[in-house]
Amino acid sequence: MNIENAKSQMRKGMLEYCVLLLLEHRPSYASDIIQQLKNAELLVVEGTLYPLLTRLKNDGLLQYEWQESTQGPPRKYYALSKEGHQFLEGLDTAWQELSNTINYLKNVTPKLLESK
Amino acid sequence: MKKNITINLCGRLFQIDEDAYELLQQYINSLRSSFGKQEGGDEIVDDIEARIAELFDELRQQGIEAITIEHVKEIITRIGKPEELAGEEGEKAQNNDHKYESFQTAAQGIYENVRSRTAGKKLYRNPKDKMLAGVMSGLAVYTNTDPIIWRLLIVLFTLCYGVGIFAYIILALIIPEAKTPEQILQMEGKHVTPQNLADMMVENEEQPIQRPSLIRMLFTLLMKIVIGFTVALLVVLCLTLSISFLFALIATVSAFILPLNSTMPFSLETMGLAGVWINNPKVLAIFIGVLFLALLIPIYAIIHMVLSLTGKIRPMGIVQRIVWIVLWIAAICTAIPLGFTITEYRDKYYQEHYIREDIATYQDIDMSEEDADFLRRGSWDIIKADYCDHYTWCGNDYLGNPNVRFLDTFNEKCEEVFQAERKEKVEPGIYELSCFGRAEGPGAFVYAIGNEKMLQSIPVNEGTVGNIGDGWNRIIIEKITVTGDSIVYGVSCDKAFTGEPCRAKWFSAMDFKLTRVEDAPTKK
Repeated sequence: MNIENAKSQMRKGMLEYCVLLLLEHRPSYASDIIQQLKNAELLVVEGTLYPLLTRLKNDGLLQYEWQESTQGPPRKYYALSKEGHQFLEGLDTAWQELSNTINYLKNVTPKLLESK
Repeated sequence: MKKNITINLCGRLFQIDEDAYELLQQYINSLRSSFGKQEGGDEIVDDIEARIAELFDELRQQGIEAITIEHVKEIITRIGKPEELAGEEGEKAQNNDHKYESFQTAAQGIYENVRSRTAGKKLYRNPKDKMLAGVMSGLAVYTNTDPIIWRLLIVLFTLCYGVGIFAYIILALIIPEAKTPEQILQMEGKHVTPQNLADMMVENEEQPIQRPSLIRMLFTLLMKIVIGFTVALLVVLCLTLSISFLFALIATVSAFILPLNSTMPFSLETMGLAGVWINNPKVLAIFIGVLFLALLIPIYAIIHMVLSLTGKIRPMGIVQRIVWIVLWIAAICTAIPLGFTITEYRDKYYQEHYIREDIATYQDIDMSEEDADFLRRGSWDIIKADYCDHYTWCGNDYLGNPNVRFLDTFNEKCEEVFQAERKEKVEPGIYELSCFGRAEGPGAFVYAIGNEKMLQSIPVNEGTVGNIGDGWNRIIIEKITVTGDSIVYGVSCDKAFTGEPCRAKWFSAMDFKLTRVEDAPTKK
């Protein structure tokens, strides 16, 4: 098990949550999302986003509409649906719990070692 | 210098090098085939296409006019290769590999050996090294062996009653040819990645020609001569076969439509296979079925091939090909013997029902030439002849001679009314009439008229056993007194004449013989 593999597994798990977060407040089109994710150093290859978007859309969490663009052809703007918002709330809670767990483990383990 | 083409990507026009275009095409195709199976797969690829258009646009804004293969490679690395995007499937395949490695038995070792040779490869006909259709070299690439081995094998098999030729044809039909660069990579067991595709395209352009050894060249020449002869022979054979198949088809169709005999009227009853239909409807139905299969399968295959060549539909898979070929061969193998059987049935029906068509006339009665000829030679007078199917017959007389003809009549419903007689000039005296006869039922008589009418019924033996055989009996009318100058004798089943109704479907009589027993009695 190498570090790259582990990292990519973690990223894969996070990607869905991150995309939903990005779309929470304003609709964006695919290239926007890619740019944001790249800035956050979450995306290795751009192509992985497209199957994800399609899956989320098919699951009813996302919806899109076509918007004219000043440069080039019309673009698909993705936004969260009602179910998407509910789903994201669920993920938020889950993330909070996970984050607490990790923090707890990180802080507690050294203390335990010190006390022995 | 490179050739440059214009492409339309999502409604925008781009200038792109030809090799870059090829690579892009391959990339999008491999995306399509990898996403094709999943829900919304086409939409994903369309979105990626839109992204590529955007990236091209960015390049143009940077002042790049023509997109090169380097640009395309860069974009492919950026967006990701199909197997990187496929995700979970790739992991499963890896797990399987671990499983196989853990097997340790000897049998598994052999399996491993074959597997490692064929691992990750797909069986294709090899267009890069072919003598005929590339089947043998495809097998060689698949098994990682020398094509010469396979070629020698097929020649050896051809020496065994031509098995090799059929095997080759079937293999060539079943195994698809590696046409696209993607398929060639799969054939060679390389991963379909843009890098490999690009490498192969470059290799294609600058492939160094290897000089084969002298032995190999001689062998190749020899093989080419052998193949040339075989192909020429096969072409002649196929031509002959297809011509005879065509003739057989025309014969079958005309057997359906045309009357059995050119003199017959054109009607449903006289139609060639009407008789077969009446007697053996199942056989005929099966024959028509398999004939349709034998014709429709090649037509379907040709249509399918044309459509798949124009890219409208996917080419057939191997299983589908095998199923169709097996079905087709089975249909042909059933149709040919059935065709012969049906022709036999048809001729038999014709013989039984139409060969004795009334084409001669004897005493104003229409009958077959054979009947008329026999009756004329025997100077028989037809007294009554109603509802008789025929008047004479031959083939099973009491001596078993197939060529002897005798008086005989037939009616399926026992409705025949038949009476035939002849007159012999005789001296006065007492006579005895002997003959042979047989009948299917009662009511048929032999008679003699001298001074008075004398009747003797023909015994019923139902044509199985008789005094002599095959239902035949010896019939004797004794003491026929004649004072005049003639005797009349013959057969009858006419109720008005015999006083008894006829309940025989058929009866026969032959070998009438008059014998003078003694002088005429003196008048008292």
